[in-house]
Amino acid sequence: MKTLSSLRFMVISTSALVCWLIFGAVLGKTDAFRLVILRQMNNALIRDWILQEGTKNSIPCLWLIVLILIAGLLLVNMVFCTWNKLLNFGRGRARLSKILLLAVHILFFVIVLMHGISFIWGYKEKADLVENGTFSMPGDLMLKVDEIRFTDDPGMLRMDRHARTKDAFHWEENYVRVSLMQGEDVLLSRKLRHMAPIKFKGTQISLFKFSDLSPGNQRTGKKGGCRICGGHEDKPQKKITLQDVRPGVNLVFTRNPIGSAFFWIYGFFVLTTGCYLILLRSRKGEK
Amino acid sequence: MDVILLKFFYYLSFAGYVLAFLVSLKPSWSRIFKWIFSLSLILNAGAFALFWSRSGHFPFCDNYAESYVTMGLILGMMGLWVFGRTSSALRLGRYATLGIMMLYTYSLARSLDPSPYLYWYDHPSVFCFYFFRVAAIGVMFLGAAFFTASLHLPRSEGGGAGGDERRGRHFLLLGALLFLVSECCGAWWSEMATGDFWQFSPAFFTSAGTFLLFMIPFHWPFEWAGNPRFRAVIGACVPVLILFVVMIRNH
Repeated sequence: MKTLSSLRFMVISTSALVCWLIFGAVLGKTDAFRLVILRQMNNALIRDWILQEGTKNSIPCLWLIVLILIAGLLLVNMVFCTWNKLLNFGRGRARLSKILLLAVHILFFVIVLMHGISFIWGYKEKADLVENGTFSMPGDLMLKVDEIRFTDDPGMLRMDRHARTKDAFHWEENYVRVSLMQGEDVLLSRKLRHMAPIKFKGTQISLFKFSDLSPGNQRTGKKGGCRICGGHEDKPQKKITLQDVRPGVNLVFTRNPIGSAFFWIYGFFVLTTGCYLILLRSRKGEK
Repeated sequence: MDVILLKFFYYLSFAGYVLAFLVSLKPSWSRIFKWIFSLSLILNAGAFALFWSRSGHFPFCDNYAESYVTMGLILGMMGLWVFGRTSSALRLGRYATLGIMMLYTYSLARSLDPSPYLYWYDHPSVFCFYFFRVAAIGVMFLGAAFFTASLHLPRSEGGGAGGDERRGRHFLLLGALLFLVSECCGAWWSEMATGDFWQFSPAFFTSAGTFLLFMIPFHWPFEWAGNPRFRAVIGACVPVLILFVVMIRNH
């Protein structure tokens, strides 16, 4: 109990977690590991990925399990340490600062926990769809792609999103019109753009990217550095016309029950940390 | 012409900072230091403006040289603002300059070409994510400058503790706070683009590692190092380690 609640344990487990994350970032530079992250781990719930693909991808799976274990140890330490050291509020101005410090720790604990919960709770699937393509969603819903409107150079469909500059890719003009149906009933018909998802009964549909879904288009996934998509793909070698491509979209279907709560809690966390900092600054004349 | 002008401002501001650092080593030259530092800061602002005009967007997106020049500018401006409010102005100036030099040195490995104006840079979540990130690193280096400046006092006079060490902690915490705001905006960006508030990616691993690194100096156990000087050294090392982590990821 004493060891688990010690700051020494906190520093060791945090350092181990930092090293393990950096190790993951370095491993992420290898094609094998990176492609598993981008094409598998991010496309489904982690629970499902471990159960279905974990044994086939032993190194990423092992890395992830060790990461979860170290993070778990840090959380256990946080609980014991908070219980032992931060619940004694004292009196006077120090009391408020201790309450804020306690709140910061509790909120951080909840945020880390929410990341863990998102591994196992909810729904996530990605689908490549062309015009008139359909996708079955939970709750007997079906999504149909009515129209894909891509007005820019068709060659961009084979390019990485990082090649899509403001002048070359017109965000407002490129969209996909989708319909949500239940049986024969059309429940919703909307335009979907990148960074402007639609939500229906808790399920979010996001347009991840436009791409060329013609059978001949093989993406090799050369390494890159996008925070969101994580990689770059090959740039086209010759001028591509509309006849060479089959415009498609990569849609993401997610239901994240803790999504909104996460942002609220994160907001409170930032606010509480800010208040704690202001209180520390106002106490500069003390001691 | 733009390129030549940019190189002129960039390299001259770097040389100015190096000169300011050398001048700061002689305590009686504190006035000269302030002049050289201010001049370097103006040149730094010039390089920032040229990066901006060449790329067409705020120069702090992604991992280009311009981001480090912006970090240097933020650190320099905050440093200039704080110099007048502390008794250890010259020492603080020296270490803030050292921080700017480190950022510039790292930027030398990056290209000075304008970064592409990607269509999502105009989205508020993306703008805030990058802005708060560079601000966090700039502020964090100022915290490191305070920590290092605190080491100059003899132990009997509170070396490694006292006002500078406390301010170092405050700025490090402010850096952590700005970093949190940046991460929150990143989560919003991710939610909009991918439907999930976070994604597995090497960049995410680096960000998470960076935030955890921030936490270590605040939790350093007394039984390991009762000497406040040692704690100040740990605090000063954090931004350097973070820069090192970013370097590992990018090379």
